[in-house]
Amino acid sequence: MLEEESILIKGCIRGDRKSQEAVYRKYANKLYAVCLSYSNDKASAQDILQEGFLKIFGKIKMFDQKGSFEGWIRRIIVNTAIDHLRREQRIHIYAGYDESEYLAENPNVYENLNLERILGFVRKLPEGARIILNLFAVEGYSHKEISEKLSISVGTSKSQFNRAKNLLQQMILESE
Amino acid sequence: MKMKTRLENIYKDLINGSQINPPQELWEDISRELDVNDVWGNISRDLDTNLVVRLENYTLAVSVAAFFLSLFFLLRPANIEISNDPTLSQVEILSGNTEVEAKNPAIERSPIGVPVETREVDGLSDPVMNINSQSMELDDITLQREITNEGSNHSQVFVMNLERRGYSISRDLQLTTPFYGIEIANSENHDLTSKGRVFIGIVGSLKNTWLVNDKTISGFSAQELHTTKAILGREFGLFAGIKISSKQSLLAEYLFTSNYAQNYQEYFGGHYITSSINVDYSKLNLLFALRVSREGNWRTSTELLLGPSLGILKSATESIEGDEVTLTDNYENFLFGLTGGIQKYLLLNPKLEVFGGIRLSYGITNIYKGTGVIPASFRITHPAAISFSFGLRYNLPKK
Repeated sequence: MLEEESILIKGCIRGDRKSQEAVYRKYANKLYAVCLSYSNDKASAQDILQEGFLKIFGKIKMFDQKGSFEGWIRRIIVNTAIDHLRREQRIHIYAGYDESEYLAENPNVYENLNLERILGFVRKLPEGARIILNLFAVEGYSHKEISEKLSISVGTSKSQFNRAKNLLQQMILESE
Repeated sequence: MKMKTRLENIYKDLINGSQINPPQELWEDISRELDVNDVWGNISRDLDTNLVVRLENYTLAVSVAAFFLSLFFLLRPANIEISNDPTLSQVEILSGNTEVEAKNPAIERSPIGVPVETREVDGLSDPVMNINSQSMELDDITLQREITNEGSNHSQVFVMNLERRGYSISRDLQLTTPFYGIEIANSENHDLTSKGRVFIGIVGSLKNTWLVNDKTISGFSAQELHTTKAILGREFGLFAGIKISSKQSLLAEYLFTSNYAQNYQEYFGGHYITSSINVDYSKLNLLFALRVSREGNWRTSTELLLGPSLGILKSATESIEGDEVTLTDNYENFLFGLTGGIQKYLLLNPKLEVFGGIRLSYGITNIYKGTGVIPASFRITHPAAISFSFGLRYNLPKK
């Protein structure tokens, strides 16, 4: 771990506001993009980011300073996002869909994709499918880990993931 | 493993590679929330601190009371002081609870308790009748003792004739004691001080512990904003030893747990953060014990102890505002130190003694190994403690 980061963490443990602000300024921009990928709108993403950082500063004493600090705070933000959506009872993951196959891709349609456009499409995805897409594709969780985290079956996780990708591709194609 | 599709990769790269500025007021909201949390945190911390201080005070009061109570029993005057001459050990009363019945109520005070020169003039033993009679002439006292040993009931009758300072007093006293039995009292086995005698026991202690380093010491300074406090630690273990002479013995103690801890209150950004470090060892003490006095017909004795100690690190933790962090990697695996003290022993029966005392222990070597940020030389730390020790010592029968 970088010495500068270690000093910042120690400052945060002591409750030093300048250290807390420095950590916020360093990671908020990256984490805001993550929050936007989980939420329906910017207000909800900001709530998640705020709640996440309050958790980070509250639990920073428990960070063992051995692993990646960024990885640790990112996990807290992702868990906060899931909790946030769960609290608002917006996670409905239906096991009824049977989309075991992902439709063939047309790579040409991806040329004009940027963050704003793709987030616009992702926000239109059903909550459950969106969370599974983010956990699998961005955070690198396996379907087994996702099934345990969201209390669903591995099959549901896989089919929802394919559903998310199919819907996303369909939206991209329609927008061209 | 299934390969990721192009869409997945594009999405992942866009999310991870992008930075979007959240609104400026978001940090202000977080900062405000943290301030609110701090207010409750400060109140909560003060309440916790008060509770801890109260508990520490109660524990300390109980420890001090127990210590003085044990001293009261240990230093209680002996029932009969006849002589410290070892040749007269057979006539010493080795147990408390002596009931004294004056057959002549006109005599208010007994001469018992006055140290006098004695010599044994007669001794009779009748193992068949299980009666042991002894007669002694003291300086100006004639003392006759008859001890009857009937199963577990033992009684002694003293007949004393006194002549002192120009006037004569004749007096009969009957003393009844739960004596251990003539065969024990007259046996060499009863002598707990004989060379080669082996003893075992359990030992525990409550101790006032310190992690002595620059941070702890600076906490005493009035100019520093942070303060340091001792923490109550504890020890528990077993010991075994051997008498190497009538006054000296060697013993080895193994303490299953022996912790050293320190409490810090550090000032940061307008408020105090409470933290405490606890380093727990299992410990081996090799002690030389020297008996410096023996009182009350050998019922009580006092020993000085001194010797080296070796500690093996079990765990090290830091608790910051109640949340615990493991620091075992930051401390050395071994601790070398010195332990010394004074202990008082009270004989409960010919083999069993209870003891209490005060000990000092100090770690000679630096126990702080350091971290990637703070090297070991920046925080040289020596553990130290003042402890109230207590325990039981069982003297094995001599072969």
